[in-house]
Order: sequence, then structure tokens, then C-alpha cells
Amino acid sequence: MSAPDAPAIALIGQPNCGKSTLFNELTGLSQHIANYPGVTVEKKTGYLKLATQRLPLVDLPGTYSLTAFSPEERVVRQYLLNSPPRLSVNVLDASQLRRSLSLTLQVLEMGLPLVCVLNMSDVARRHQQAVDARRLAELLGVSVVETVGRRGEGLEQLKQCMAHTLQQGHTEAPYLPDYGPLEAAIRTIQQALPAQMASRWRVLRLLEGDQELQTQLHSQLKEAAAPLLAEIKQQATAFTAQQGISVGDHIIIQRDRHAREIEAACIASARPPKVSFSERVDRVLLHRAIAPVVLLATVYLIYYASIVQGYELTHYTWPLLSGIRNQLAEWLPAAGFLYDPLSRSFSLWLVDSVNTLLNYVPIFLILFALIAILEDSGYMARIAFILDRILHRFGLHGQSTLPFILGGVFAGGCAVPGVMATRAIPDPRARLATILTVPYMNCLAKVPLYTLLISIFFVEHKALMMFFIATITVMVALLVARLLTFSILRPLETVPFVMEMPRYHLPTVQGVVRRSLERTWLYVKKVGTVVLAVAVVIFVLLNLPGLSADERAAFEQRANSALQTFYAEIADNPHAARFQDADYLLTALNLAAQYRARRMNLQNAEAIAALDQRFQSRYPEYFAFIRPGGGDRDVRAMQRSLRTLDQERRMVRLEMQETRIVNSLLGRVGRALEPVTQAAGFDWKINVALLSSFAARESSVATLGVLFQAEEGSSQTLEQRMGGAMQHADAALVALSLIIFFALYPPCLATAIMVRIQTASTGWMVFSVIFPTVLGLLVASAIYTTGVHFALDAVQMMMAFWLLTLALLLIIGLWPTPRPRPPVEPTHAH
Amino acid sequence: MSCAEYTLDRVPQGHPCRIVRLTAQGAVRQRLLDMGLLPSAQVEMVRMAPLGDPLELRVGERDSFIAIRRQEASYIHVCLCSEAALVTENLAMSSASP
Ligand SMILES: Nc1nc2c(ncn2[C@@H]2O[C@H](COP(=O)(O)OP(=O)(O)OP(=O)(O)O)[C@@H](O)[C@H]2O)c(=O)[nH]1
Ligand SMILES: [Mg+2]
Repeated sequence: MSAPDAPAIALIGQPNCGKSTLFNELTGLSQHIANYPGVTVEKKTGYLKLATQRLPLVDLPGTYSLTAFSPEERVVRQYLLNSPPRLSVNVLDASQLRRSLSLTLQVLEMGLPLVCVLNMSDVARRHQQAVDARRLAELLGVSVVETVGRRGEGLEQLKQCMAHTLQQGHTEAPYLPDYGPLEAAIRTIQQALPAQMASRWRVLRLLEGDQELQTQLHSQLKEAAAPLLAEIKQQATAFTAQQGISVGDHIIIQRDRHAREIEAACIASARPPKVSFSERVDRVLLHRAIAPVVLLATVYLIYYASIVQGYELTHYTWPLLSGIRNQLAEWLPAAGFLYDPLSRSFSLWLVDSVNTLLNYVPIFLILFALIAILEDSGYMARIAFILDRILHRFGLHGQSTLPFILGGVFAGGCAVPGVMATRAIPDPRARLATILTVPYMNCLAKVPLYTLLISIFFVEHKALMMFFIATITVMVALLVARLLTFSILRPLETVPFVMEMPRYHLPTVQGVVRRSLERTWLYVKKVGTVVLAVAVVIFVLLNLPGLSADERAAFEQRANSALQTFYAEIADNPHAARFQDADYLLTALNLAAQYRARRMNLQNAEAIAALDQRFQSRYPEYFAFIRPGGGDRDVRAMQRSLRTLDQERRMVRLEMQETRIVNSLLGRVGRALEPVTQAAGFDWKINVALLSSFAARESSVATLGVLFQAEEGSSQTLEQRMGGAMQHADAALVALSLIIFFALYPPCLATAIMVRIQTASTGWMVFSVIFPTVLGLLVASAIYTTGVHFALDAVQMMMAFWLLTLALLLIIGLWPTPRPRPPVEPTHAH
Repeated sequence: MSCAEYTLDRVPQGHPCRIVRLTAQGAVRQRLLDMGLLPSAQVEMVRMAPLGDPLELRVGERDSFIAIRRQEASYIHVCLCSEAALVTENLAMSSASP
């Protein structure tokens, strides 16, 4: 009975009337809901239980009518024409009855079986404009059910009504609009068309000159179509000549008149509607002087609550994550003296990659919850209203704001949800421009590298540099958007900016929590799949082909001599006997490293005591030697010798690691690129880090960590190590050009894949990767070369670049563009 | 009845108007019609965005609010509901210019 392609039940209605809300409640799924128009863009199917049957239910995008001008309209129309649902459920916004009815009438004219849902009836009642559902049912000739989607009210009646209508079959609507002087033409054409194609709606559309339906007629009727189309055309021309109005305008005006009559009959209230709550709020929030202040405050609040407070939370979650890693390190096969078992190094690599990403989860939970509140309350649409002027200037759209915020306007976001959120942008050109510029925002993963470089090279100018970075990315994104829309995106279709201002709603706790969890989960899934997969690839590329036999022999030689020195040193220590056993020695060294790693996570004396306690009871015969200090003279002497041996071991392992990376495939690529990247001051190590950061930006810091010699359980920070290694004169300039390059760097792999999904084009995905790489390299090279040439220091250089960008932005932003004149000047008419 | 016709982007805030005709074609026209901006409908510009564009309109007698760019508003030709509002000087001037 419920085969997957059996005709479904379809939810149709205008944007933002609550279709997805009802869909979720009927099917138990969680389709994205938000309080602004155009959230659902593709159709989505779920299953609905009606009595004993399980029926497919389709959630369609919101549409105002069934012409074929916008993508949503095309989706809905094609669906209704090609796979006519066995029942359509038309959701009406009870507080916008007249406008909602225009779609209802079109669907009725199509002759499709229909049930009407008066959603948002709570709002209508609150405005004292309650709709008389029984009267409406009489006037339309279909069943009408009142619901409050948000509270799940009226769902049972809706289901009963659906079941009933499915059984009964549908009855012809008794009260369709009368098109007066056009009726004769309608009748003529209806008779000329084959019966299965003669719906009133189709005839009307054909008279309006619908291209798509004409083509369809051609393909179905072959040569019989031409005379028919000629007849239709002739009728339409005759009508216009007689009535002095185009067929299209006449139809829409008559339909609207009909809708108005129905509305007047169904809303009893004699009182004129009072000024709504939303309007009163907007008088303040959208007041020209107050609006920018409120907007800035809102944005700052989001930044503060999610990024600042979220980071605070990671102080609690990070020990958890690193605790898991340490635990795993203990369970895995132990490290060898020189070589670790592959299972160990590989597993730890994976855990480290995932941990860096998971570390951001608290930030995302807060950020996404706040954004859900913005969306649900209706303020997001106001933000679009306030900012459209600026964004439009640069080829973007008011609704590009949300993607940019998600992508991390104020340092901290993620381009993946950002690119996803571009779905709500109705304008195809602005939408693509947004997709291609969201990755310039400072996603959370870029932040560690910024922080690392700033704390090495720009300690005195920390705040200033952070400010520069945060602002420069937005400015560059705007400039790039402008550049793209005036070049390769130019031929793309644009649509008018005509947006409904949604009413303010109080967001529901459950809705906000759900959305926040969903979006965060999406992010985690990305960690689980793409990043993990690429981490594997990078691991392989960093470790193959490995050391040559000669190199191995040399390292083993050094290890042996270190061991000999150790044994010579402890020869007359009373504890020497047990260390003669190689296994015992290795375990002692590894346990000491383990102890150090655990100890680093602890601050207070109690926790340290507990750690000591645990190691003591678990490894009684080792404990004295692995915990620094304590014990008698001989024990301390032994500790010293062990430490010397350990240092030598770590040195050898590091050099081995470095040799391995230099020889590795990725290392070779990095070195091969050096001639190109030299202009930007990048050496092969930085190249390798940048290459590996394509997997996930976080890994840039991890790879730099390896390249600048990370040691297991080392206490020297990466800052110190990199600072030590990069001590040449223009290191700060290199750091700056690296920061700039990273700011402009292409989207990470997961984002690139999301770009592919959202644009449905591999070409754009490739472009989204190549363009920023070239741009970034050019800008970074310009900065480095200029800086070196004029002997400017990095902060001056940054300032110069920032000012230049700002100047460019202002010139483009303020340059007066001639507004195309309206086609007709104001005139006196009758 | 004859009245002075203006494009909606030139009518100052707070003056209820009646739509006379739309000069837009194709998708823009359809979109405007769909949003209830059809001939004889009542419309009023209630506020501008802080930077002067877009505009917020109230459409019809019931509360229906729509944001629209000046560009699109210039396709909407309206008559002022109360001719008294005509005294606004810049309005008179703009309607007199060629
Ligand atoms: N007050 C009130 N709000 C509702 C009701 N039903 C839904 N909403 C809210 O209306 C907003 C829009 O709901 P959606 O379900 O996303 O609307 P949609 O029709 O799917 O919108 P598009 O996908 O954009 O076409 C959300 O903020 C809902 O919480 C209702 O009966 N009363
Ligand atoms: Mg929806």
C-alpha cells in the first residue's frame, strides 16, 4: 500500500506559514524550521500514520503562486504537475488569509483534491481577526481544519480530516473565481484541449502565455498543438485589445478580489486590526538611529556568549578529551626504544586529529543555539533588512548575513554550516557569491594558528593584530564578492529583493535546543568522516617512504651508544640489576613519559597526590624511578641517569621523525613548491603544514608541531620551539604573510564538499579552492616582498595592507552608481 | 478621478497610497503581485532601513509588512490617498521635472 513511489500527500503553502512545523509533527522527523521565508528549498519526504496506513508525506518549499519564475515555484509546480499527489494539504496563514488564498485558489483550479489547514490561528485570534473555519469551508468547498502548528494543536482533527477526504474522494470546488469577460475564452479553449489536460488552471496559464506549458503541449499533441496555440494567442490578444488589460493582470486581480470577498465573509470582526505587536517592536528596533546600536549589541552578545564563554567551557572539556587520549596511549602497544608500533602512532594521530575538532563542540552548541533564537524570533530577517544596503553594494544580499555569522565574522565559526545556510538566499547570483566568500571568514580552526603566530611574533600587539585579522577577512570577502559578481558571476540570474517581514515569535526552548544539537551533530559528523579520512591520507603521505637502511643503521648506532653510556654510568648503582632487563628499562622510560603527560593536566596538589597514589599502587617496582625527586641517593642517581638516557632517546627519535618527513611524499611536494612560495617567505615546512591543513585547518598547527619537533611528553611549548627555529631577521614578516595567506586560504575539504553540494557543480567547487589559493599566494607574496624590500616591520606592513583594503572598500562602497531610472517618469494619469 | 502619480520610492514615510500600476515585467512583476502589491491595493512606506535602502511597506489594510529595495519600489506607481499630502515640496518638484 505504501510503496515508495505511490502518490504522496503533499504539504503546500506560502513561505513561512508553518508547513515544516506541521510536517515535523505529522512525521516525527526534524525538517529545518525558521522564522523567515524560504527556509525549505527542496522537497522532503517523510511517513505519516493515518489509521492503519503508512503514507508518504512531502514537505514542499513555500511558494506564493504557481508561475515558473522562481526556483521554489518551479519545484512545487513540477511536483504538482508530474506526480499529482493523491491529496494536497494547503497550509494557510490565518493571519494573512487573503494572500494565502491566492495559492489555494490556484490549486483548486488545478482540480487537485485538497484539504485546507488554517495554521497560525493563535496569531489571528490574538489580533482579534479570528477566521470562521466553517464559513471558509463552505465558500471553498473543501474541508478546513484549524491548527496551531507550534503547539501541535488540531493535529488529530487534521489527520481525521485527511483520512476522511482520502476515502471520500474529492468534490469539485463550488466557488471558484469568476473571470468575467475572460470566461468565454476559457470555455472555448477548455473544449479544444484533450480532457486530461483541460484543467481551468492550465487554460488560464496558457492564456497568460506560459512557456513551459506551451512546450509541453507541443510535445504531447505534436502537430495538433500549433493551431491550438494560435487560437489561444488570438483569444488573449483579443481580450487585451477589448479590455485594455493584459490577461495575466486581469486574472490576478479577479483572483484577489475573490480572495478578498472570502476573507470579508470569514472574518467577523468589525474592528479594524490594531497595530500589531511586531510593528510596535519594530518602531523601536528598526528606528534609524537605534537599529545599528541594537544590531551591534546583538552581534557582540553572540560573540561574547559563544566565543568568549565557549572558550571558558573548553577549559573543562579539554582535560576530558586529553584524558581519553592518555588513556588510549596507555592501552595501546607500548612505545619501543626507537620505533613505535604502527598501531600506536597511527591511532594516536587519529585521536589527536579528532580531538582538536571536538574541542570546539561547546562553542558550537552555544553559537548555534543563539543563532536559532535569532532565526526563530524573527530578528534575523531584520538583520537582513538593516544590512542589505551594504551587502547589496558588494553583490551580496541581506540574507547573506546569517551565512557570514555562522562562518565566523568575529573569529569563530565554521564554514560548513555557513555554506549550508546560503540556501535561504533567494537570489542565485548573490547566493553563489556568498557561498564563495563565506570560507574567508575566520572559522574556529583558523584561530589556533593565528594565536600561535601572534603569541610568538606579535606579543606586544596581540589585540591590534586580532582586530586586524578579524576585520580584514570581512573586508576581503566583500571585495572578492564584488569582484566575482562583476566578472564571472555576472551572467547569473538575479531576483528582486522583496521579502516578507515575519512577525516576532517567542522561540521555543525545544526548538532551539534541537536545532543547536542538529547543527553541532552535523559538524561532528564531518569530523567523523571527512577529517578522519584525510587524516589517514596525510599520515600515509607523511610517513612514506620512510627511512632508508643506512639512515636506520645510523640511528640505531646512536641509540646503542646512548644505552652503553647509561649502563656504564649505573654500573655500581645497587638498583642496576633490574635495569639490565631491556623490557624493564623501556617500561620505566615509557611510564615516566606517561606520568609527565598526566601530570601536565593537573593543577592542584590533591589531584597530583591522587595521581602519585595511583601510579604507586599500580607500578610499585617502577614508581620510585619515574616520579622526579624523593628516594635515597642511589635512587636519585638512577633518576638522573634515566633522564639523560631519555633525553638522548628523544633527540634521536626527533631527528628520525624529521628525516622521515623530509623524505616523505608530502615533504617532497612541500620542497618542490618552495620556489613558488619563496616569494611569500614560506619554506617547505610551512608548505607541508598548509598542505595538510586542507584536510582540516586545525591540522596546520598539529603538523607544524611535528615539523618543529614535538616530543612525546615534552614540556617546551610549540611557541618556544617555533620561535627558536624561526629566528632569522624577517621571521615576523613570514609570520604575517602566513597569517594573511591563511586568512585567504581555500576552504577546507569538508567545506569544499559542502560547496559542491550547495552549488551542485564540481566546477564551482574546484574554483572555490583554486581562486583563494592564487589570491592568497599573491597577496602574501606582495606583503612579504614589499616588507623585505622597504625594510618595514610586520606591524607596519599589516597596518599598510589594512588601510589599503579599507580604502578600496570605501571607494567601491561609496562610489555613486547611477541607479537605473524607472522606466516611466511620474505622470498625470486618469 | 485624476490624481498625481508617483513612483513609490519617492513617496515619503507615512503616506498611505493606492497602487495605480506596475511598470516591472517578468519575474519582478510576478513577485510584486504575489506579495499583494497589485493595482488598487493600498500601500504605505512605514520606514527606511538605517542606510536609506531597503524600504519597509505595509500592504493592504491588515498587517502585512514587506521589505523591498528602492529599485523595485520604483516600478510601483501610486496615487496618494489624501491629496492634501501633496504640499510636500520635493514631491511637487519631482513630479514636475521631466
Ligand atoms: N504563532 C505560531 N507560530 C507558528 C505556528 N506554526 C509555525 N509557527 C512558526 O512559524 C515559523 C515558520 O515555520 P516553518 O515551519 O519553518 O514554515 P514553512 O512554511 O516551512 O516555511 P518555508 O520553509 O520558508 O516555506 C516558525 O518560527 C514556527 O515556529 C503557529 O501555528 N502559530
Ligand atoms: Mg519549510
